[in-house]
Amino acid sequence: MRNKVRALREERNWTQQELADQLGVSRQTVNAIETEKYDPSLPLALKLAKLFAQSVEKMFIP
Amino acid sequence: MTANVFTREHAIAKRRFAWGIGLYLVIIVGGSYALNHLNPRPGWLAPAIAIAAAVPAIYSILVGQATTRRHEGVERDILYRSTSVAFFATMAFSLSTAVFDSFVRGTAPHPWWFYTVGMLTWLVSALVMRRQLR
Repeated sequence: MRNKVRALREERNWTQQELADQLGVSRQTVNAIETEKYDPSLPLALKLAKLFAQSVEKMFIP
Repeated sequence: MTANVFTREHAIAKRRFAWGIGLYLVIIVGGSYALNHLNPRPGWLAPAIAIAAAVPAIYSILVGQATTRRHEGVERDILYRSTSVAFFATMAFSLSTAVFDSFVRGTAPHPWWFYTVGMLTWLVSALVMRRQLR
């Protein structure tokens, strides 16, 4: 699934590790989401949406 | 590496897992030594050692599984997928050896083979999945 996680993270000048720390996941998980190799679970997608103040529908494009 | 909730809890879980496995090995090695050297050997000793060894082993497995299950992320995904692959590989190996043994008696492999096939499949599939998601 396509997503805007990398763009949103880079807008804020966060590293993958910094984003991972805020989400409580590993850096590998953030990387896998950004490279679209891994679709996050609904709770994690909601956490991402809340953190970036976006709706899930805007962040993840099926 | 920065310590966040995920890395901190995983480090604690890894330590607990290692303690459990360490204790398991100590009980197994000590128990085997006692069983080999006691004469007469009490009948209840072997089952008691087996039960005592199973407790830390089960504890370790449960700690590892519970920690990974609690956390979001690729690690949980890899755990579920690799466990599933290992389960089906072990089933396929068991089935084929059982079928073969029912046609040609005495060809069943040693039980360690089933364990090895399952663990190796688990390890290899987890490594492959981790590489794919890196």
